[in-house]
Amino acid sequence: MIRLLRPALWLGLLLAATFGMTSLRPLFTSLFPLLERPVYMQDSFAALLLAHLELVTVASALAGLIGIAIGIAVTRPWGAAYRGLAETISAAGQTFPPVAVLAIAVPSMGFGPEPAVLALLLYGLLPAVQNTIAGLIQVPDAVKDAATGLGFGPWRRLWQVELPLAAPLILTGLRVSVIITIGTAAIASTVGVTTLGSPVLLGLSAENTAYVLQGAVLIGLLALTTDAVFDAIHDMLA
Amino acid sequence: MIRLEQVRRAYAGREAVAGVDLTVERGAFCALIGESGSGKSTLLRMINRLVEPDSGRVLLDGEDVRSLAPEQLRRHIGYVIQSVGLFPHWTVARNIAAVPALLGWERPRIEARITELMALLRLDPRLAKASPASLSGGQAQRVGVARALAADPDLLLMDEPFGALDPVTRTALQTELARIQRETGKTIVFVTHDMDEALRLATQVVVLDQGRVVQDATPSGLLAHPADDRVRDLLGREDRGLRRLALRPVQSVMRKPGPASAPAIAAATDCRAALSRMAELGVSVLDVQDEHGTRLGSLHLADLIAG
Repeated sequence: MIRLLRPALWLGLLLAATFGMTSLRPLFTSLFPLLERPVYMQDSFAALLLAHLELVTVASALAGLIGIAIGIAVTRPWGAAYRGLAETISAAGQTFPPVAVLAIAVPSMGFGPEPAVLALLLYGLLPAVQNTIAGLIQVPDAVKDAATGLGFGPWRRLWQVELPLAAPLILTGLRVSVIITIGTAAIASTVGVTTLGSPVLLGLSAENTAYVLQGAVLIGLLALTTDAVFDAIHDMLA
Repeated sequence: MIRLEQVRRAYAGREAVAGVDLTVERGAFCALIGESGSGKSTLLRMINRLVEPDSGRVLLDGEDVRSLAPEQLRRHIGYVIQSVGLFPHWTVARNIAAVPALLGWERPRIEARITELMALLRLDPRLAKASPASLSGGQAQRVGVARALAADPDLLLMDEPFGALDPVTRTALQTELARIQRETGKTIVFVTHDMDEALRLATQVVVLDQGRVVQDATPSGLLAHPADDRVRDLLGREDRGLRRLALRPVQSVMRKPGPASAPAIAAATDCRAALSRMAELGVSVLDVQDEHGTRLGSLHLADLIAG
């Protein structure tokens, strides 16, 4: 129960901020006395949070699944030749700024969630690929040799021996991937997707610092909550 | 039981196994011995298809191993390696149960087998729920041997199973293995570079050098007639006489009981240990006694050396 305390605390704080942001109007009025509208009202913060979560979930799930699949493939005997290539491509995916991906993808895919998912997916792929590879190659050769020698087939060995032993490192990779996706997802608002980045972007263009602060605080709390959840899962695995 | 016919296997142009013919009879304890790179491990791993020969055949009970699916074949052959390779995320009991689980045994049958094997390997039953990380090296290899024996295979392959253990633990496990082989009648093929271990445990010693069989003989045959200098080197030129003594129990050379004043020695002792005891005490006669102190005979230095 103790290990659930930290994620519960952060979640409580996130929900309180989401639903209580509008009641903080007097605070924002006193902080930014020159602003006519000191609280973002275009969408409810709950709707922004849900939309943000949806985008992150889809992009991270795809990055995780594709990343783990690539990591598994290039650590099999038949895929080992492509390991360098896979690492290079996923590293390039992260070096390439998501804003640039959006700029390139929008003309062909149009405005909306598709180019955003693509940009986030490419950005979050590297940690998933790298940690899956790292997790699988640190499984001791003796353990793999024993499994094969006792009569485990290649897929059974992967599923029953290698993946459980690689799980903590793979989980770390997913955690990094999800956390950076939560932060980066804000830019999806530049291509017309509603996210917690919407008040941030509007605030930047309209010189409304209060909006920027409101969006940023919620993104930060969402990242901290998610991180605490991963921590709890990690503890349960150990 | 096992027949290897002209098997060859090359790695990067170098022949690890360069045309080996070998027969191991059912119930035999066969030691493959040689320096590093002599091809002994490669040869062993051909038997359960962890290595496929480039040419030649491996027959088990007359059947070519290539006619069997590798997983099915391996589930019916015990396999033990030097680094043990226990599954670190499973308990000791689940490690031992690995192959029976693969074979789809019923739960109660698996439980009974775990209990039986932990007793056979003299493992404390309380260790069943322990994690492999908490075991000593000796305990871990006992679990490794138990895991290999779990589905009661007729054949056990062991790749330097005791090489990483300290001398005391190694001797204890060698004694256990000899006992288990006596009790179960398994065929064992055993890779080692320790000649004492080979001579002590094996009924058939196969000396390998650069992928070829140099000599295939019984331990006493090897000591009496080493095929060439390479075998003499492995036997240790200075120690050969002592090693021959080590193969012989004192009871085989003792006379009728002599004067009671001679120091006692246990009947289970081998002649090398007896000679050492004589040198230590400065005597030339020892009194051979069984575990109850009954005097069985007397052992004379002249007989030891002449034998």
